[in-house]
Amino acid sequence: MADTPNVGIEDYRFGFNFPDSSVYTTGKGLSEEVVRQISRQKEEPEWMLNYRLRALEAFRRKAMPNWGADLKAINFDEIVYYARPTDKQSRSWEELPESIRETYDRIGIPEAERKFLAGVGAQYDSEVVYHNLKKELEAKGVIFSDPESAVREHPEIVRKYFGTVVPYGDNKFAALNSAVWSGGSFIYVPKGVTVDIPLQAYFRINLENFGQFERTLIIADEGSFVHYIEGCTAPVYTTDSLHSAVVEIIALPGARVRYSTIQNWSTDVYNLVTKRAVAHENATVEWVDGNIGSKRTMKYPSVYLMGEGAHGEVLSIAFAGNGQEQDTGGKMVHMASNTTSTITSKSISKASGIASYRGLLKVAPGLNNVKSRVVCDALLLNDESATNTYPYMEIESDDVSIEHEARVSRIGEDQLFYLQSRGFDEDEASGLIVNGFLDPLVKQLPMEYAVELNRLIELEMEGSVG
Amino acid sequence: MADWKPAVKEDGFRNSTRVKIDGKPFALFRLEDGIYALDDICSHEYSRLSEGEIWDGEVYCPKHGSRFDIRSGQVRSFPAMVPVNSYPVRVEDGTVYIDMEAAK
Amino acid sequence: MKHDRGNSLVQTPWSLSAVRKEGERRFSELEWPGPSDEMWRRTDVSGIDFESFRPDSSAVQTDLPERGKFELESFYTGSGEKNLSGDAVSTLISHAAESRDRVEAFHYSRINNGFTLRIPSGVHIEEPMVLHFTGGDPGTHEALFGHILAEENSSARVYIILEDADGSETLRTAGFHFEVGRGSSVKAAAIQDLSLKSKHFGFHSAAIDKDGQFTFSEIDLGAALSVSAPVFSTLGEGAQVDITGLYAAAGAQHKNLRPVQRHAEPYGSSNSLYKGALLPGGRTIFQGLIRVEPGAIRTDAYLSNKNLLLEDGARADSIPSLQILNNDVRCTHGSTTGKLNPEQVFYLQSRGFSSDEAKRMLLWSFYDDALGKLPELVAESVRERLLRHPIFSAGDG
Repeated sequence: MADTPNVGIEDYRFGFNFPDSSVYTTGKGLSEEVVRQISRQKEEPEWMLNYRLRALEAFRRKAMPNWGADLKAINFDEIVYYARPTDKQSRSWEELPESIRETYDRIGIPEAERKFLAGVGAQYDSEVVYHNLKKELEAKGVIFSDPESAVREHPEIVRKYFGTVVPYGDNKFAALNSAVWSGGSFIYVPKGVTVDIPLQAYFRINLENFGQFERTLIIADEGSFVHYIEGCTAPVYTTDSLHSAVVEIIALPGARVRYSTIQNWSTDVYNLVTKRAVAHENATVEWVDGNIGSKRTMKYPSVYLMGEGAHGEVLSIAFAGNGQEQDTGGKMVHMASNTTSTITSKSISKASGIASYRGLLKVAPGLNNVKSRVVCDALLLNDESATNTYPYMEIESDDVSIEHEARVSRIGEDQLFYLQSRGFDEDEASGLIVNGFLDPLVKQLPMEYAVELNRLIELEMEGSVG
Repeated sequence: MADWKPAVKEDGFRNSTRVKIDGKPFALFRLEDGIYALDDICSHEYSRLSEGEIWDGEVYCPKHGSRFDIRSGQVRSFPAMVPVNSYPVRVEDGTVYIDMEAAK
Repeated sequence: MKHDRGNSLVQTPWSLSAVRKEGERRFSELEWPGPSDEMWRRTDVSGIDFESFRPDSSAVQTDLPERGKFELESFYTGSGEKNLSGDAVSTLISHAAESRDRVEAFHYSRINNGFTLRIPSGVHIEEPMVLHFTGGDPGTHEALFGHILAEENSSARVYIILEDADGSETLRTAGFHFEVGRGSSVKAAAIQDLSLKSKHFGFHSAAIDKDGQFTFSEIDLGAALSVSAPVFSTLGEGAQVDITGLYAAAGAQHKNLRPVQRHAEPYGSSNSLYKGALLPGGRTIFQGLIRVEPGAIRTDAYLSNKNLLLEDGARADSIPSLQILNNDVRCTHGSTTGKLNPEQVFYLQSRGFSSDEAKRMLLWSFYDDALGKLPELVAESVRERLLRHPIFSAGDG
């Protein structure tokens, strides 16, 4: 292989280049007509159109949040809220810039995935994989589709749960998503069924997968298990500047859901997501959330522990590079006795990046035996790097054990020195230390992701010291 | 023993309104089958249900969109998790009365 | 940090009225705080008619070592304006001008009692100086200030006690401002033990210069509503701050403690421990902040809040925050909230103690490490006051 290129994350700025004639788009800006067009394109029933229209009203009424990352530069009138290719695209792998192809090599992304990400054909390979998986799932009664199909084919389930965990009135960006949502996933796992392999969005070839306004709804019926993986470590190139997704998870009694996200948006994206789960009796929901890239991220995965024996977990990694702001954390709301929760947040700030932890731990009155532990670690790589920690603990029961710990540190000179004396250069040494810092969380990811994430961190670390 | 207190004139509001009786705030709603009264405090973060949208017999809290059944006060969506109280209502001679005994 | 080394009894006529004027000016720029202000979201003061409390105060009672080594000037309305040092006045004027909210501005606009204390350079005073403020008549407002200046390489102990008449309802606002000079050491304590109907707002501050050491104890036991917002700033290399906060909230007591450890210069260290126990009906909010400015390298800062909920029906909110703008630092914070360990209660009961006695012993044990950090005289006083507080005495007879 040629000399490894010095590729910075900043180089990933290229977008979909559709020839105009083969794209349907609603144009810039948001209006009632745009929402109607979206609904029409998806051939939706009346009730979903009405839902979207009410959400549009709420979006217009609601104010921008007066806390969190700096969102002043978002211009809602300049955004295209819906666009889809009407023809299948065929481009060739060779048309991609060399630096991009080489990066995929370095990160080690599998062939099929590379081609998909590059917008290159090769539907065949992935389609075959997907079809086999689909047959297995259907045999078990598992529904795994895009939300549009679910609205048409499974309206009873959708109407029962859609918008009940995150109502459109929840916040301005949930309202926006509720009005213009497109793509995402719908998963229903029947009672007692365990889905052995993690379900991943890109199995379903649909260019709307990496759309800006994904809507995901996961219902795990009693005693079931599913692990869903969203996103990927490769930089997601997009011309869109705003990503505002909503994820709702309902874990019925005894169910377990794990939702993993590794997201690496390009550096001009505003990534504002509402992710909320409800865990009933003896159910467990685990959010594993890795945020790298984007200009601004605001994400606080939550679990509402509604029944006894419920457990919630958030594992969060945030990397804020130069000029980036990651404002992330988690929320745990204990509404029943004998519930437990943990939030582990690790953040890294490089150059002028700011990584902030914002979390809520709430315990309702009159509960017994509630345990919660929150640990936030922040690593500041450079002088100008910054971090903030804002943990809110509102405890209204006495039979509780609540612990919270936050630590801020930098890469120790002795650690660096030791590794350098072992033959690593400064960049490599820092990369190793940072990977060590993240290790407890990275261990929780499926192996391919863990490996990719490690390599990605190494890439980010280049040129970060001194 | 019921304690009916006057709240508002029957034609004094359109779909919803807020009244305070003895310092306690109530949200009144007019549905096709009658007038209903709930606590005018969302059980989530205390905003006014009287200012929320009304659809299909449910009121949507203006702050975070939690839904409550207007007739019973039952909570229908997060982030609220606790129902609000519902109170007996009577209309007589053009005036709406709320049973304050139930409010104790 | 400037030291006005000129005549400490500079003649500045109407000096306190200049402070009040500045307070009034700032007051007119602001609105009363409401739920949209982050710091006041959980503490509602909209029902308090601040201006209805008529100003009143009474002379301070002091217990001081032999005069001659230090300079203490005290003043209260009714005894006429005294001349205060230019230092003290200008410090108070700038605090007034920078009032963070209308309550603080209101405090400065009403200053009617206080003292200034100067420990000259090189002087070390071992015996504690105790100042006891009992306030004015029931229903009145005493706005207290204190300016304590420890010049280079000096040391002293200053303990201030705030009380009022049993069962009365008063408004007490107080701001004690400490300037700890280079190489000097000050141990201070502020004990708030007002009647359970009163309201208290504290705006203390401390600025610690190079190699200075400041040990501060904040004891918050009384009042129906108490808000304390002290700011501790390290202004020079090697400055050290150690803070102990001890509080108790019984039924109908609401406390909001929001200390700020601010590091603006390198090589400073600060450490704070806030501990409180709550009974049903008690509500406490801890909103401590460690803020490290860019350039404050090698800062070492630690903040810890521990809450003990004695029974269901109490509510402790804990929001310890960090704002770190420099990476060469060590900053951690921790918070725990829980109840008495039932196994320990059971063990003591099995040894013949009644349930109440067992709980009281464990409560002492909870407060023990905080009490151990207090200067002996302060610890003694606090132990007595705790015994009289409902947190220990509820359930008696």
